[in-house]
Amino acid sequence: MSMDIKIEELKDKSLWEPIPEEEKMGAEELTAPQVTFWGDVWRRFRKNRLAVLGLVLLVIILLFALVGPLVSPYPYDKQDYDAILQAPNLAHPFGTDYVGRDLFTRVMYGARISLAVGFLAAMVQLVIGVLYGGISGFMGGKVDEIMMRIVDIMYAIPILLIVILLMVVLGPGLVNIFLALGFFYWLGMARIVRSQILTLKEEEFVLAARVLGASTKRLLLRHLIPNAMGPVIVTVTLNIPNAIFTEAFLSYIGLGVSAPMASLGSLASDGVEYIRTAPWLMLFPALAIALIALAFNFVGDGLRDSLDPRLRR
Amino acid sequence: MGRFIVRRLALMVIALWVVVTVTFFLAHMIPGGPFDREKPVPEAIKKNLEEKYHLNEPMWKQYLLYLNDIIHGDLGPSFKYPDRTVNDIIKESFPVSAQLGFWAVLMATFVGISLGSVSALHQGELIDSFSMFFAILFISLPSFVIAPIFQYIFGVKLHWLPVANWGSWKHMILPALSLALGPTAVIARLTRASMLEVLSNDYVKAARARGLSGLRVLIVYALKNALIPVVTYLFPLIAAIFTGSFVVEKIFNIPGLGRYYVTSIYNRDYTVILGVTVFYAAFLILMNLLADITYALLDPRIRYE
Amino acid sequence: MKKFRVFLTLLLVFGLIFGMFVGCGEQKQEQGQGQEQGQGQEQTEMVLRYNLGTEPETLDPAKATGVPEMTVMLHTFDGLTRLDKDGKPQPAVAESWEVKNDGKLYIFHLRKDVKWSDGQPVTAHDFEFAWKRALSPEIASEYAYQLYYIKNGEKYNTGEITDPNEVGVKAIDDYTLQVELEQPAPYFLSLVAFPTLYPLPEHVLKANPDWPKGIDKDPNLYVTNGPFVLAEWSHHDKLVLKKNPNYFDKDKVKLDKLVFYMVEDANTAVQMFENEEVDMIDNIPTAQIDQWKGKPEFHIDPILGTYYILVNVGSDKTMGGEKNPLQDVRVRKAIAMAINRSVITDKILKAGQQPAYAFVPPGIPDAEPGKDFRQVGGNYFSEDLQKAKELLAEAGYPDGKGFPKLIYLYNTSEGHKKIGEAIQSMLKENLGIEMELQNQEWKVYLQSRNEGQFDLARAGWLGDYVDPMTFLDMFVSTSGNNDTGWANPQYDDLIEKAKYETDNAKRVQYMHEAEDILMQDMPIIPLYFYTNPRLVKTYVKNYAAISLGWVDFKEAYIQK
Repeated sequence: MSMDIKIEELKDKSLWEPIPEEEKMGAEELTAPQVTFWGDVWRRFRKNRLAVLGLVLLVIILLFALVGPLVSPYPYDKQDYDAILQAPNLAHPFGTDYVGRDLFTRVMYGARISLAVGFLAAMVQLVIGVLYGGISGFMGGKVDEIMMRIVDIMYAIPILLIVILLMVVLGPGLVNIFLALGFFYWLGMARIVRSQILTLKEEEFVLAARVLGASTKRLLLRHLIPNAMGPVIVTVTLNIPNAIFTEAFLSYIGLGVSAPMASLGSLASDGVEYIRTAPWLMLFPALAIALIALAFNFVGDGLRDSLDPRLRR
Repeated sequence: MGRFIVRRLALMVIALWVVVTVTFFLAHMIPGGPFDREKPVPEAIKKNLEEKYHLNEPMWKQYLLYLNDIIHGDLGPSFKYPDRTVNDIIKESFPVSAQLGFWAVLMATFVGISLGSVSALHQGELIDSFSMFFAILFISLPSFVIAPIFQYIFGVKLHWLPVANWGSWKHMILPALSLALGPTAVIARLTRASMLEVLSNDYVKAARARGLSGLRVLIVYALKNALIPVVTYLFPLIAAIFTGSFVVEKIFNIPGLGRYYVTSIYNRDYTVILGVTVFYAAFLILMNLLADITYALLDPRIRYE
Repeated sequence: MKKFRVFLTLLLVFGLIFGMFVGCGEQKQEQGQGQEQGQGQEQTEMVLRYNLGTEPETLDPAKATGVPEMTVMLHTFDGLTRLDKDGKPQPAVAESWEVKNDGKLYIFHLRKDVKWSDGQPVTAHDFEFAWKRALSPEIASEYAYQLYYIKNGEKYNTGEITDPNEVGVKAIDDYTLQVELEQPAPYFLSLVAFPTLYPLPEHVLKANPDWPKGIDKDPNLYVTNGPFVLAEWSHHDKLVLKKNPNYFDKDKVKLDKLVFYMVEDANTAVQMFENEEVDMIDNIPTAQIDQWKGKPEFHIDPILGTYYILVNVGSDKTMGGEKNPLQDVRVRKAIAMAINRSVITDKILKAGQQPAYAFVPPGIPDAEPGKDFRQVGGNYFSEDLQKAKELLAEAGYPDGKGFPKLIYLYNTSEGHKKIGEAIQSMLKENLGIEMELQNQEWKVYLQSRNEGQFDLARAGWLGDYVDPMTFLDMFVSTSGNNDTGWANPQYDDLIEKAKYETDNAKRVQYMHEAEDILMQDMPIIPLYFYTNPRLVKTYVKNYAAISLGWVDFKEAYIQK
């Protein structure tokens, strides 16, 4: 469903005096034309060393995940019973697992799934969570009440029930993981954004923009949400490892990818049992997750700084 | 404000009803029942069991029976533990989870806000980087990884603390720590981020320029306004942590409420599923009401009417 | 800027002090009540701590079904007989018995010195009362079918008759119990050692029909007749039993206290064992077995159980309308022969499991004294790659060509996953058969299995009693456990005959013949026989590990 439709609907019911459409264009548009906004962001982003480092890191991980398996001498499911639980060595840089599979190859394959899950979780939060929370906070009153109670209800219903049901109806598969994540992964973000918008909409600059005739959509997308970006980015980046482990849990229940394929999350979870006897089984996948989290974090911080309207002024 | 709270409480009842209804039908829709075992019980015995628990009635009738019970405050008997009622289960295990949750939340809030504020004020300095790495580390190592490591170091190796079980304050340290680390990291990062936003605001800059002391700027302007996202995160967190964590309670063998959220579903223990879900839902909605009230206290411009 | 730093440092310091302060206050408060720390403050108290592994569902003997419940009640109750460590029934509350009427009538003579923990005598009426209670439909006991051997037991349970007096159990006098059976049951004397057939204190239950509700709040309500009585039950935490001063055989009981923990996390249990927080645990994670091998604490106890693959030999449900190649016995045999079992037992599981080439596990006596049923029956096949390939080619799939992809179903668990992965890899490499692993949550898995939504499915079975029948009767065509779609009237017939045969030699012979058929048709592919790896502190002495999975601590003691 398009969020725009909702915004249009909500506009009519809004509590303030709507300004007729024709009068809306004007002063606002002159200050920041569309093209230079993103150009500006990119320029700023490039200057941020950590942000670029994060981006490079992400590209490297992505290359590892996509190209690595093609050049690896081992298939991800090749078992070697004479090489069970070997510590990291020249032939197997990350060691081998309980049936003698090369962990390095498995981590590279796992990174594919986990990266996809991470991206998806980020998108779900940024698109659904931010818009939902933004609208709820901006509209206030009854609309806000109802939208937030819906979030509460979805929060409270045990996700495991839904996951089992999805598993029965759809069977295993990565797409089903995406569905499940998409269903509930934006709830926390919606709350964070709403709380930010609640205070921001009382700020002078918002009032000013409103007086100048900015539309609801414009107010939200150009003024309110960019100003709420700090907590938004933090929430997104910190939720990425969380999403990666959630995927592992869903796979464990039977919704996700089937063995012998494994994501970073399931590799790390499986490795916990071996913490004392073969610590590499947990260490390398966890390290990979931390690297992904770190990279996302750098990029996120950079993005936040580049988007910060006050720095742009 | 009074009318707002009354309206919210009324809405809460409706929300709870929705939660009960959806959960009830979801729970009955998933395959398997409470008495399915690997060795199936003979039909006649299954019939006896189903009659005893009204599982032979049509679904709508079971639903109405349940609604009637819950309105009277009776959450029913457990299917898995036939000698215990759901009310008893919650009454016995919630205080345990809440006690543990209290320390975890306290620790997370305190350390998180302190660390976040320090990082914001020293943006880009060593302490800032340190706290970021700390946050990423503990977010990437969830409690089911951290907890066994803690058990090994502080129990098996150092013999400082018991590995598991419940009883003295010593038993509480490791689980509380395992529970608190993730939220600490999130709170620290949230505090830092929103504090940076606030600190770059013109009025804070102006206040600083006017020569207000650092401490006052920090407390009066920056921290107060920066706390809103933290509060947003914290209050639902209280609901979640006080009602127990499945992973931590399982690993440390803690007789808390958290285990029932997951095991009741595995067991198809319908009454327990519904009981703990409704309990959590009510707690959560109340906490979010508190969060909204706190926003208004932190920022008097916020109005809900 | 300086002031910020001072302020924040102070904030942190205060926080830490506050935390410690509160922590200390907690300590004082808790020390008062926290005496139950196992190790025992008094030197004289002998305490044994065992990990039960999970919370008992109930301590009502009529309703209990699982090993944890049985383990607890084994110590709080005594039945007419009690199993020794070989699983043989020995006199307990009954000091002697007579078997009459071709095994259809039992007369038990009870000891006169057996008392309930409240001092009242245990009488034959308590048995009659308990058995009829377990059979009554209102109690809805899941194990009521264990009493179906008794005359009219099934009819009363299913509501066909409503008068409990028609049920074939009767107290002739206070110390004589007469039991009439529907059919002769050779293992009836073992059966009376099971919880469902324990006596219950009629005087207590008459006063409190909801019994055993509330025993967790007031342990004294749990009036029992065993070596121990309930002292404390803290759910999902621990259950404490103390020595029963009224027990008739109390001289043999050395322990003052038995503490059962309910630690579900296997890794935690091992770490508790290392940290001296528990004296005995089952279920060691495979990852840690190597570490313990060769140490005196490491025990491999026997358990009656077989891990096997269910084969869907029935219709073509999962094959999308194609012909189901598993209907061909040659294909099933090829698969059975192409799996390298010693890799699974020695390299993956490592806990001394035996590769299985037959279905009934070792540890069950054969007809001739001193011989084992498995030993007499022998192996039915061997691993033979060459033969496997030939069989597959004969069936029309040379090198696996044209063989559809199989679905291997397992319930979510680390161990099952490892085995599934190994089998997948072996079949692909050895036979060219592709297999997809599918894991499901336990109850979903049970349903899929029941509906035949699989080609191969992992399964395991632990015996309920020490007899081949507990394994073999699963695969009669009407059994709820037979999810394979396999039905063989000859097999059904042999099992039926064995069930009602009073001559033990003949009975065992029928069961051997039944197993021959099962392994000839191979609707199931055995993989290995279970073991029960345990960690036991060296100071724990004289416990009895019963091959049905539980441990009897009645005569155990601690010698440090």
